[in-house]
Amino acid sequence: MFSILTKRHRFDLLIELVKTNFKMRYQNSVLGVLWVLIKPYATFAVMYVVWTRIVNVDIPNYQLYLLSGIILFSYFNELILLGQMSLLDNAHIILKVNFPRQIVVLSTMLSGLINLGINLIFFIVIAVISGVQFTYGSVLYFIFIVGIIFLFAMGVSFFTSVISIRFRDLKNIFELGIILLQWVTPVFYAVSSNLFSGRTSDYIAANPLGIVINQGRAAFDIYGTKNISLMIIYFIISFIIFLIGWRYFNKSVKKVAEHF
Amino acid sequence: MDKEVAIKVQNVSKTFYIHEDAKFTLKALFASFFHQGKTRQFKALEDINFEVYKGEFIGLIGRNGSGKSTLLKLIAGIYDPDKGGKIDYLGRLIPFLELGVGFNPELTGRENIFLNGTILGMTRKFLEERLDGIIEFAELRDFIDVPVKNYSSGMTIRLAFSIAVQTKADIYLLDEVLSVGDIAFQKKSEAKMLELIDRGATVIYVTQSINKIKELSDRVIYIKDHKVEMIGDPETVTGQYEADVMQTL
Repeated sequence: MFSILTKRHRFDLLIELVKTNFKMRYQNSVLGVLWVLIKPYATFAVMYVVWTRIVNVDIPNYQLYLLSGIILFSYFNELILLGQMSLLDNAHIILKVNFPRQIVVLSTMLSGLINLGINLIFFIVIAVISGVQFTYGSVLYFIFIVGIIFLFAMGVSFFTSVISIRFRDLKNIFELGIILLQWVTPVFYAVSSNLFSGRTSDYIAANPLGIVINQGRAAFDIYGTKNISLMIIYFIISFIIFLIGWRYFNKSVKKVAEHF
Repeated sequence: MDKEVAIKVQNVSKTFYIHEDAKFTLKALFASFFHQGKTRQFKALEDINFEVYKGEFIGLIGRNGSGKSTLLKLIAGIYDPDKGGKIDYLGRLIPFLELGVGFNPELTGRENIFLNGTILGMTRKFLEERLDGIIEFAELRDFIDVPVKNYSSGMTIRLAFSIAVQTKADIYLLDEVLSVGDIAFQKKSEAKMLELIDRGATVIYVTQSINKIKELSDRVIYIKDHKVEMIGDPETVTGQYEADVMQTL
């Protein structure tokens, strides 16, 4: 399965595609790569003011809670949306040259990963100022969380990228879905908060994305405690989705060229 | 002489299923629950059989829409043949179905060399070694760091051709790509192609230019109405093709 990248020219192709994705997003824009930072941090600034001045949340270290939530959620959001469009966006190559199509999906996933990396640089600065202790354990656990989201999103993208070719509505459905998802995910509020009545908080607490994001926070002791065994289960589930996605993709991708 | 088979095409057919309702949207999805969505079959190729020997230059002719490009795409592995069909080839195959695949107009010529080159299966290191040669051949020394969107179409195609001919393959599939640029560049590019062929490469070449076909081909395959009408020496086959075309006029 992973032999697609052991050949040097395949690897170089992957790198070129990632580089092009990156350049294209920020070419001809005055602020360029800064946009990677502006989006999450502007969201952060607005949300922070709203939730501390108006709603008065009682989450300790709220700046870190909110920032880590926004960064992880937009990472997930970006992987899902970019992955879903990956084949369509690269139709001009796919129709003319034969190479393992997984490279196209992987290249968009890596673009999302790079953006996460850039966002994390500033997060680390703020975290250090706020007194967060970075240990090997906490960093490794966080990378593990990032990896779970990556595997899951790539597995899903193997399906959605193929389905989108004939079912173009999927893009709009997903864009809408992501907006709705943000409201039921503890990005800017906490599950435990007293905002909710009745069983609402139980439902929100069961949102797997929220659980994963909270584990990302737990890695640095921002909120909650680590639940390593649960995350191992999540990892296995994500890996299974990845494998099934890979098989589906391999089986259907040859037909893809005929449906553009 | 013992001739080694480079490409073997056996019982290859290709059917496309065309959805009458071309827009496959949610509406179409629901509509098809109520009345079965119509799909029309289109046989682009029917029962194609031929062999190409190593080092041969094969001209592929036929009218527009006869299935030539589909055949090249099948050999290139972009489409799968219908059940029962089989295509085998020996060695490394590079399709040039279009020059400048993946060219990004926003990127500079230099950046596009690496993008297009890796898409064609070359490594970055190989391209770095050839960089000067590519730029020189394309006659773009002064413009290589300018975005390709500012190139003339001739400049773009020259760059694309210069990258493409760097590839080292045993089999090339060429779809009307020999005639690019102005006359001077055409002469140069043709010489470069012949150089590749002299190294013993096998070539399948699609074009509408009968003169080119006669001049370059060892054998010619004539596709008519999605079937192989004739395979043979260039004079005979192109003669038949021209006679057929005249008849329809």
